Amino acid sequence: MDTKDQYLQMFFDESAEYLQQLNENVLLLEEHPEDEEIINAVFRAAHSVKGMSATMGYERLTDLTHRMESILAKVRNKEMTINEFIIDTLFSGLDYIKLLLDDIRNNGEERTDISDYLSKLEKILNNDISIQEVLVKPEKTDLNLQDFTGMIALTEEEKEEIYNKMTSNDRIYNIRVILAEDCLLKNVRGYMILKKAQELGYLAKSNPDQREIEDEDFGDSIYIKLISALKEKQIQEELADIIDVEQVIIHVEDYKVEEKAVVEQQEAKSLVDSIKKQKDGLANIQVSPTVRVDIKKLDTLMNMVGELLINKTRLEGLNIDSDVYQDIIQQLDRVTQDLHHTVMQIRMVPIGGIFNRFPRMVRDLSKELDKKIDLIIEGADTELDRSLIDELGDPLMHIIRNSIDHGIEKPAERERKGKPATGNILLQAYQKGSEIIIEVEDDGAGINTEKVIEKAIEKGIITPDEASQMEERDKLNLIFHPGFSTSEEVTDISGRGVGMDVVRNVVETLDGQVFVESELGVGTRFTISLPLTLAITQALMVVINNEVYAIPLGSISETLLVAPEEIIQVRGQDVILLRESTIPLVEAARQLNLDIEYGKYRQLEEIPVVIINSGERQIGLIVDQMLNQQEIVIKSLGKFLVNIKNISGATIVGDGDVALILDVRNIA
Amino acid sequence: MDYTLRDDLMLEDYERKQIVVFQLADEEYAVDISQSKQIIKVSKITPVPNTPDYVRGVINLRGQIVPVIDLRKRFGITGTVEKERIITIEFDDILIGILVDEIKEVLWYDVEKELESAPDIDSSIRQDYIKGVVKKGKRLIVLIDLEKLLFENRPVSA
Repeated sequence: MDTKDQYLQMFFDESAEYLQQLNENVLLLEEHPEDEEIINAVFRAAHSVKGMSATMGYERLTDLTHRMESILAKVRNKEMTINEFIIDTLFSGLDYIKLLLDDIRNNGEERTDISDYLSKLEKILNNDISIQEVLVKPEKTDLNLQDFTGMIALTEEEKEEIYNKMTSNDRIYNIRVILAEDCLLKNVRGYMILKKAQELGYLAKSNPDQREIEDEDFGDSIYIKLISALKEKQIQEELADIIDVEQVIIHVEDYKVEEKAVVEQQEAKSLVDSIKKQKDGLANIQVSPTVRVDIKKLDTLMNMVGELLINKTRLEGLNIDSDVYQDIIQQLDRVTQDLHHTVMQIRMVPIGGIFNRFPRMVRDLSKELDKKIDLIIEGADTELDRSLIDELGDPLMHIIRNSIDHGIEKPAERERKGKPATGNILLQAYQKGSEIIIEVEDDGAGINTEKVIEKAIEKGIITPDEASQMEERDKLNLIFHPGFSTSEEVTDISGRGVGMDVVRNVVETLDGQVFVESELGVGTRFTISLPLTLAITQALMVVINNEVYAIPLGSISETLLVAPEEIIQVRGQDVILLRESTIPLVEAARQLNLDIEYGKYRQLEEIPVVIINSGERQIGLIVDQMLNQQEIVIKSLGKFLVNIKNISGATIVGDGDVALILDVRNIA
Repeated sequence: MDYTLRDDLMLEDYERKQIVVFQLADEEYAVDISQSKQIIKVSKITPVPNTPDYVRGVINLRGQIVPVIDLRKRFGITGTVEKERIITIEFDDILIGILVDEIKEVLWYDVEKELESAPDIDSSIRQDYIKGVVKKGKRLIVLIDLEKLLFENRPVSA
């Protein structure tokens, strides 16, 4: 697909989206002609379509939307009021937009004649058409007429209890508090309404109840049955005084007679109406073969798959001896796996989305630095989970900036070295097994490990003694150390305090790894490897100080129960011998700096030890208890809690609690 | 015609702002309503090791892991209360819960008439964390600069 096609596709997708928004919002506008927010929404959408059309060079669309916008501007400035005539005009405008878009899609140009419509719009704008004769939409039906007592009907027991409590001055008030449609923080409002009601009298019943209010599980109204000796007017005023309360309707109940609930029927009817309306509004829009979905919805879907998985695991845990049970478990297992796979598939997007921003950056920076650089991009269609894509932009940018700044030499210097004057940076992505590999390779000067060592010593990262014992590879890896920068002069490009350590941190939070290889004078290659699917992994659940933690199976080699007499002390360190290798024991609680007494495990009869692979060594991690092995859904701790030592994320376990995921890679 | 400019003017309300007022020890504090997402009851909070003591832990909020900050601890206020509430706050796309003693109400205030700058008041929390003080009659409500409070010294242990 070439660039123009890509833009055109984007234009179609987005304009279809805006057109749908416009249709929906004009419908809403018909219902609420005074609502400024809706007017603004319509205005913005029309404005966006105008902007896009102008960019793509479609004159008729631009003209059309421009004039529709002018009408909306008048409406907004109260120079014109919304009536059926205006709404109809707007709708036919939307139809014209659709016709024009179809023209472009099918014929590559605008063909529909819109001049008649445009002149009509012009007349409206100049007030040439009398709009007085057009009927103004009737007012909303009076809400007072609706009987809502059924929403808060009492059971016989409740009645008895309440009637007994009432004194002769008390009256029963059935109250409906209607919240404004744009009410923010509905649960707070609801909470305040209930609190206020409690101050005014005895709150016999509310629908929604307190819990539902806290969960924001309710519509626009709160129904209250209040027993109070206060006057109706006072209650009305007190409740209406709360912010965002639009209307308070009060019925005084004659408490000997119970009223029938008709409200459910009415609600059902209005629901049918609204669905019908929605359908009518959407009928004009052709459904495209692809659907654009908000990434948040996919996250929600992913969460639900996660919950399904958790429950599947619980079900498996029952371990019932029955063929039917086994069959169900197998089926469920297959379905959840397919579902997980499909959701992951949907979330995959081509990495080209972030690669595409680099050519411009390379061009600008090389110009600034008087360098000649070609950026070669390969594998832009490699697909990655959307959440990874978002995070990868910055680290990649940093690596590429580094290559431009420190890697590629100036043309004269390159020629002296016998290289072509123009340097190359190769940015490529590909899939390798269950991993995605992203490489940034340059044919520049390479990393001078001697300079790296010098700098590291100067910055106190290592001592000269340590340096002399280091292998070449470890020396290179020093560039990932926090606060390290190899640039001799701090430049604008990459010497801004964020170093390669940030790159490594980001990649590691994504459960990936970053390596560097470099040959002096030949070039440098950074390799980022990321797991193809992040979200679900197998883990061993353990208990540490009464909290459940998950340890990914990938880093566990085995689990043991060790008797205290098997523990040997070597240089003050507890170790065990396992198949002739010495394995140091570390206490998980101590690694986590938990505020408890350490070393208690020595009094146990058998000590649960998880043998983990930490770097190249094996370590015996002492936990309090080993539970089961299960699939877990990995969740990030969010952007607030970043780089927490020895914790890589969290997961939600069967009972809805959070279990932290241990990051054992850096355990001492 | 410049629509964009007018657009902005219409959408922004310069005069009045809304806040969520809550109690912390003896004082009333508030955060901007646009930052607050919802109020939730405290359920099981899983402590996160290797974090500062004011990070009470994380909770499961409809499948999302949300860190919970203990404001009393953050401000160095001693003591605890039984019925705590969590207000969830959103900055950019970061969701955080803050633990408070009690949610009082939601208020409008007049930016020009009822808001005073921080140095004029006496509060038990550090001045830098105060955005201003809303004066409602005799009531003084301390407006917290959450962004500064939460992100100035991010709890990074590595």
